[in-house]
Amino acid sequence: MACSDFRRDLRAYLQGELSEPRFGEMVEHEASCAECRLLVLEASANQSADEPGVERASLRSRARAGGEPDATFEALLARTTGDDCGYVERRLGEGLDEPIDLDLARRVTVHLADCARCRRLRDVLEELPVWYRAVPLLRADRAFTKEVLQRTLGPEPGFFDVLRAWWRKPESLWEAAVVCGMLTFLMFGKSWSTVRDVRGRTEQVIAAQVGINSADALSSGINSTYDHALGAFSAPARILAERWNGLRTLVVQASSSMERAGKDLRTGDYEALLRDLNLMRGANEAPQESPSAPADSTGRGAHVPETR
Amino acid sequence: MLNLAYQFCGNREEARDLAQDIFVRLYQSLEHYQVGRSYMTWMYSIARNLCIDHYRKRRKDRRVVDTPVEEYHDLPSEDHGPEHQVMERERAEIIQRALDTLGAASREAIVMKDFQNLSLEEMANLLGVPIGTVKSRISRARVELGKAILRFERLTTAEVSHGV
Repeated sequence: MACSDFRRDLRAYLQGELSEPRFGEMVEHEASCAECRLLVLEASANQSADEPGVERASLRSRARAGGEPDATFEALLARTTGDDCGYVERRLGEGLDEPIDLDLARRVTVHLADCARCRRLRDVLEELPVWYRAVPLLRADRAFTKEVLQRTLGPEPGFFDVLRAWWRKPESLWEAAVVCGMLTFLMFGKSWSTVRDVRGRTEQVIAAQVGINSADALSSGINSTYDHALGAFSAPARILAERWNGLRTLVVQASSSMERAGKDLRTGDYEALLRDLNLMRGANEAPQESPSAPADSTGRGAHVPETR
Repeated sequence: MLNLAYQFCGNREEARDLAQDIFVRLYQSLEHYQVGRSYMTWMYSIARNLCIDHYRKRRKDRRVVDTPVEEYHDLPSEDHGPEHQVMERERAEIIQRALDTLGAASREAIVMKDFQNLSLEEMANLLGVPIGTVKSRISRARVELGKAILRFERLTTAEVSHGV
């Protein structure tokens, strides 16, 4: 094998990329040619410097195995590693996060004493966190968020889209019923006052045009009619109000009982606590028990209220 | 996410677009997310792919390097006086230019380790390489960045002395 061929394939040889017959030829040539052996040594040193943790000892043993004198090896090592700016740069980069080997650190220090450029690089590397702080931090503003939402979820829905979406919900019927009830209540409230105004104006017109007596008669008729109508309107409202008051009383009673029970628990007065709990239970059960009446011999209730 | 995009591309408008793309991609990929897997790793892997693609494309298009100085005008200042502000602005410009000269792998290593503060293990998981490789990439990237900073520092000094 010619030396030129050896040099051409040297990199692939060192990286183990050659196939077997070619690899064997390269081994033969390295063993027979001192000049190419030195080349291998130099290339190995450069390559190993790219990878952290490679032992110098392996280079030395390889050089000795090849029959090179120690002086040649030291000169080669000095040229390819210790005094080389590239080598020192790599060691500087490695030394930022964790300490490097003492021997390597000594060589780096020796090199830095002579090389202003590497000293400056070391300073810059040590100042990197300060440099990083100069890069501004961006904040996502409202417009950015809106754009992202538009691109992911589509455009912002309009009023009718919201309405349509709401209508598709299963609970929307209940919500609609509640809203309608509230609207109806508001409308009734208004209609009462309107009805009263209309009635007052009607009475005035009748009194002016027909006479006071007829107006009184008409007025009493209208009164009874309107009272009946208003009574019909107000009955459900009265029932609701009564139920509401009853519910509120129950809630107030329950909360005061709970408060008392909590206080008893805190003070350790268990007898009072038991009493309060019995009271609460009694209050809850009382409405269920009261309607029950003793049954007669036929099994029917003693008193069945008449209903119309 | 916005800052990750900015640290990759170094331009506000592009960073906004890129961050939006990342969010859209995350949203579209939600169904592929495996419960139990680290959410951050999954999110970073998607963001990283988009950022790297964008960075490579940008470098290929040769639209890189000179970020306008106005970009840095609204840097948060801490009332250190005008000289300090000018210095900070110069620093911001130099670091941005230096970052723009890095290769995609080096920039990625710097952004993830030094800006996003990911651990070596997280980076190894994300990049799918051994921790030793991650370490050497970070170290090489820092040296590369340091050299670029030195170059741009000298260049800025020369520009100032020539009144450019």
